[in-house]
Amino acid sequence: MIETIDARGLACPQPTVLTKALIERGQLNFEIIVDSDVAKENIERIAKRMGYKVAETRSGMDISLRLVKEADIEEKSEFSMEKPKSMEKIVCTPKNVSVTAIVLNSDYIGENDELGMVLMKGFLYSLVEVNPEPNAVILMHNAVKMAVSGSGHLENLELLIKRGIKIYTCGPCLDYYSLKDKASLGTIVNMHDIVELLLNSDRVVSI
Amino acid sequence: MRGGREVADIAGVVIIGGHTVEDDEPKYGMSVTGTVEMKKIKKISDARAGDKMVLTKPIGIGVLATALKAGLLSEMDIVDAIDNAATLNKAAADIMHKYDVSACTDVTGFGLIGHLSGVMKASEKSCKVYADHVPMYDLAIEQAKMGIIPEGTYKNREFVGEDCDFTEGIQQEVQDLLFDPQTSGGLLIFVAKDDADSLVEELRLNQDVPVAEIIGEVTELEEEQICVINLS
Repeated sequence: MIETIDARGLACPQPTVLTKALIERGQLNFEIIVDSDVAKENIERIAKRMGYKVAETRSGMDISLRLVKEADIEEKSEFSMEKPKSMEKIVCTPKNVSVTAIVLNSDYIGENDELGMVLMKGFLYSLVEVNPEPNAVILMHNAVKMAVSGSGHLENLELLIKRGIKIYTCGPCLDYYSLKDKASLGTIVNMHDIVELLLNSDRVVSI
Repeated sequence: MRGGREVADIAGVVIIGGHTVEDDEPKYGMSVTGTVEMKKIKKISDARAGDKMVLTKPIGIGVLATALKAGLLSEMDIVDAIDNAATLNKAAADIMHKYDVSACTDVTGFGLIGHLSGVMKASEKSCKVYADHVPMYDLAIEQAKMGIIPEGTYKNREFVGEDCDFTEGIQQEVQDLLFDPQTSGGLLIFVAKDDADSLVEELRLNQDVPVAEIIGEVTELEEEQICVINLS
């Protein structure tokens, strides 16, 4: 069973962003359904760039795009009933993709004391190891201090980024703490972006 | 509001009134009335065969805005493009009047090829575009390769349709960017061949002109209205 993503109704360039995320996660074989030629054209471009073949089927307004990594085509025997090892088990939701976001509101857990700091360090370290990993970590309020140069949490945050987890840092919060000029990890976002991220997630864990 | 007023001052424009509309998304616009020196008007219908085409801002802001919207880039990443968009074309326009300029247009929503097509049709001429000399934002090229392309690009391409031909070897992302809708783009100046280098030199010396590149030349009317080539 190949994974199918329903990207119908999503505003440009979300379908392309979803495709990019799947490719970067190592999905060698998947299907994405869109409802506009613009989305189709954009997805074909990234597919070609990343070495994927695209097969298109239309049904009314729906355009179903089947993406297969080129090397994978040679390796698969058409009579093979085995699932390629690269197939990940994906939890099916109505959207067929489960997106988890973690919101951190402070640089400690519980109380702002030694234990609080240690707990946060441990929490981030566990995120580096856990499977499946979350899709995004959003830093708000004084949690943004963790992403700024000089913070003791940078190593773990960098490991999260290496895992493919997106780190989003609240811009207004950086401003408030006068940290915007300091180098920071992650993508700086505004409140509108954060609200969008949260509402587009299937699961939100807030610490 | 203050920013708009400051830029209007630089442009030599007096804001004499306005009204306010309440909406979920902020909107800001101006309606301009004034008098113009007839002999200083540069129309789109007067381009001459042999003229060179000079562009004064890089293209690609449509892709950058799309990537920003998708969270793939931050505002810091595209601060150059934002600064350029916030720069008036006044300095470039003032300089242009000193040279033998036949026609001029600015580059906005229809993209470079779209606006160029307008000039070619009105002037009844054809032209060659040197794709490898058109200034483009590096990040825009990168994002365009990833398929981060605004809907307007496809509409612009469709509108120009058969009138634009690409020679072999012009990469997909370059083609896409040539149709990329611009916000507050630069001037596309049609200047006599002999004045082109001097115009470009003076434009480059001015800090309020982001770039100055000769991006093509006008020819007599041919079968293809616009032919995009790689010059080198």
